[in-house]
Amino acid sequence: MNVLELRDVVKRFGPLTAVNGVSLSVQKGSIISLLGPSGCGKTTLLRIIAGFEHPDEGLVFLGSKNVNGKRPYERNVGLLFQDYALFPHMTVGKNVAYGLHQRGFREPQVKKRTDEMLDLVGMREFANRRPQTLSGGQRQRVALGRALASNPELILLDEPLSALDAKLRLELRTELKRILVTAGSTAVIVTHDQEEAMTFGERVIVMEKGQIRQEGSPTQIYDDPKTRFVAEFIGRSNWFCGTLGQKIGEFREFLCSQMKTTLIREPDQVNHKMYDVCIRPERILTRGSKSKDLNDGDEPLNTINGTIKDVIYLGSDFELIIALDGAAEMTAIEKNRRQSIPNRGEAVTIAFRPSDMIVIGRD
Amino acid sequence: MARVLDDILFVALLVLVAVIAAFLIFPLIVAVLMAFDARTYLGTFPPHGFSFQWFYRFFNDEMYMRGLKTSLLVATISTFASAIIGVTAAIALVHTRSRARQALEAIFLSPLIVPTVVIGFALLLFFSRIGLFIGFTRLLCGHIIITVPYTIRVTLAGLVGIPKSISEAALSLGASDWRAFWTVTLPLARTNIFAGTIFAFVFSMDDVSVSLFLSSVDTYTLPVAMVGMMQSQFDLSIAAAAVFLMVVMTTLMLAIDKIFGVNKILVGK
Amino acid sequence: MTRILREKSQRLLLLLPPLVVFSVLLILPLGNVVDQSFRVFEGGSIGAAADAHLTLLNYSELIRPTYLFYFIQTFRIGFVGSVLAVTLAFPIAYLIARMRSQFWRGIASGALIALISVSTLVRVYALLLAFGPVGYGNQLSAILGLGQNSAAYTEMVVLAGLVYFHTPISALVLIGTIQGLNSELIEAAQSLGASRWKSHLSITIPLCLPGISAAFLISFTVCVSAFVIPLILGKGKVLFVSNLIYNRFSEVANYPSGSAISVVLLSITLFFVVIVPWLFTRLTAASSG
Repeated sequence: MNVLELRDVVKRFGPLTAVNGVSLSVQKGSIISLLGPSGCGKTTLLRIIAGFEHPDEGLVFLGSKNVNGKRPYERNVGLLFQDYALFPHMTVGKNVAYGLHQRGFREPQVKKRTDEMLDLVGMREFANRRPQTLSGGQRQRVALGRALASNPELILLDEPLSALDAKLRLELRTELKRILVTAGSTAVIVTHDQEEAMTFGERVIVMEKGQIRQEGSPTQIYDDPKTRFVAEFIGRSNWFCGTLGQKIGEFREFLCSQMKTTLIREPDQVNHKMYDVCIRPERILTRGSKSKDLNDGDEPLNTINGTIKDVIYLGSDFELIIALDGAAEMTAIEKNRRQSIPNRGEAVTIAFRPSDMIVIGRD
Repeated sequence: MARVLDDILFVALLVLVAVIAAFLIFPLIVAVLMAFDARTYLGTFPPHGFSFQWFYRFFNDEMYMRGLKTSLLVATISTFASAIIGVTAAIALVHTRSRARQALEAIFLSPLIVPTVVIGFALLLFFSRIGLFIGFTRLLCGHIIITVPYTIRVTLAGLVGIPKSISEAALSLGASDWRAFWTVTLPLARTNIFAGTIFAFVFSMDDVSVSLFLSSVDTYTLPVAMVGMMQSQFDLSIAAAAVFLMVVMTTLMLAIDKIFGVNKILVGK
Repeated sequence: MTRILREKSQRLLLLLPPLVVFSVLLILPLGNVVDQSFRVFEGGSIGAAADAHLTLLNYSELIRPTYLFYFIQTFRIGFVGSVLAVTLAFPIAYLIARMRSQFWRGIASGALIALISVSTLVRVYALLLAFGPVGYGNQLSAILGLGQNSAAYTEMVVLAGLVYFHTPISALVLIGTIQGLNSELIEAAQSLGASRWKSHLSITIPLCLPGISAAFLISFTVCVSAFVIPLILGKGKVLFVSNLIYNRFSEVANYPSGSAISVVLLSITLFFVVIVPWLFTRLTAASSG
């Protein structure tokens, strides 16, 4: 059952088109991430779903009802604001109870439900405190509890972790997901942080310039991006540009001026003039000559010789910048397992699998 | 060498400020002390002895007390009216497009610019023309128009200062626009409205320029009575009246400053 | 803010009470004053008769030396008063703004606010006592070589009154200005070799100039329209423009003339409060554009 459906939604602000024909649907019980850089229209989309903006074109359905033109309080959509928006003149308990009162719940039920919510988010002992006395993480939990209290069909989270410092972010990431899953909520999370998107979302929708560029599971988005934008927005990449050569078995030759000819997966379309090929840094193995480690399948490995240009120690990772014979530079990342890392200036051979290479045709 | 000059100049600055501070405080000390003077005639400063005689005279004088009663009544009623008009206007202003809003704000805040003498004179003339001769009503009207800009400005600042996300949160939780305003926005603006009201009260109690024009033989405010005394019969009961006014008003203003911050009202942020 | 007034008609309805109040209590009366200022004066009635002739006499007689004298006096004393007030306010504001302890700053600001909140009338009366025979009037006037009841001494007392009234307010305004300055600029100047007083002379004061001029402008405008201070302290010997208006009412009952003076005073005030700042921003925008 679709909890939310958008059909060709368009929203303009003067000469600027913030949302340019977006269609999507969200099933009951699923958690979706809406991911994109600032200005891509994701926040506008959120506000349209919540009812604070109205689309210029297109339709918004909540459940099976068309809600175009309905005010926010006429929809049953919960909202977690970026700055939490807790009412400063009410206690935590009253904040959580507010929506229940507004939607017509009576007293004994209100108390029961409020307590349930506070337990769910772990803030029961703070019920009589004011929001100003709470920390950022605590405030966020109260805000979530408040939004979930009246059991909305859909809950929208606007950049839920952006206001927190790195450590808190990690803690709360799992906590928030637990709460959402326990409550069985259908949720849409808007964020510009790919880690956040991948953590929360069973499905990730990537947006750019008011349009959806790709939708899929985190794995699909990461390993199989359909456009250069999506590939670059998520994770790190090494890019090469070239043309296709002959077909060799199930693979294809990739001819590039910046490195020797390599083998790539057969792309979906072979009629593009040029191709952008991307290799994620963590899929590159760097060893003196131990190329055997990578070969756990029947795939032939691509191997290229090069020299270490720089080694950057990042604590949990090593970042290796390698100058390939043939002019190009590549960045590889290895986990720090106290292995011996080649030094600057040393000659190395790098290896990577054809199936790890992301191929995107250029128009 | 520059170092020494620096230090000398700094000391000079401190001395200068001390002198200015003394200048500012001294006359008040004179007035306060003289109010307790035990002499029955108007002697020179410093006072001799300690007595409450002038205060007895003040509180027993029919003219002063009449003025005080009128002042308090006028201040209370006009402040109340001013608060209502102010909140109403502020709410309306928040909903208006910025073009019209600037024009409206200019009108609503204009009594701050127009010299109070001109306001007093204009009202007197106008009331005579339309036949309004009741002293109390005239005073009330005058005090309302000079206090309303403060209630509007302070309430407006309060309403504008509430983050949009808070009212949107109320809406998303099921409150209709009106209920969201009533249960969330207005309570948060409460401090502002309260501070603005008290300031209006103080301002009304203090007014001389408008009241002089609009008072009549039987209806006058305390400041008007005091001005009359200052120009005719010059005794220290005026000092007692002054001390009384001072205590009342300073207490109220310091109360506002504690709760709210008078700087915002005066400087208009 | 939630838009509770979604309909235009609702908004207009809510604006009605304030607009009515302002029309009846401000706009109409002021309009009436303007109208009256052009009417011929006929003794015996409050305001000229509704059908009295139109005339420019009320304005033209203001140019006569006797009236011009009062205008000039108002401007002269007002100008000196505001200059002095701002000059004295600046050191106070400077010291307070640069106090390290939040606590003492609060006390000092609180003292200024307490000073301002003491009723205007009370402060004027305090000055009357302090500068009169009860206080040190005798001694002061002797030192200055002026008769205590002379116009010259009275003028000084009025001037003192204006300064007394405006210094605390200007100080409060200037505290805000000085606090708005980036303290790193002074530190930069000092690290480049300027001594403390030199760095303030070349950095602080020029940067505070907009704030100082704003404070001066406000102070000047209020000084020019001062009423209570010259009324009480002027003792009839020193008259400001606003006192003239009052006299028209209380002594001569020449309301058309009073109206004319009111219109002039209002125009002057509007000029300094609206036109001058606007001109100023235009000029600075042009020079920095």
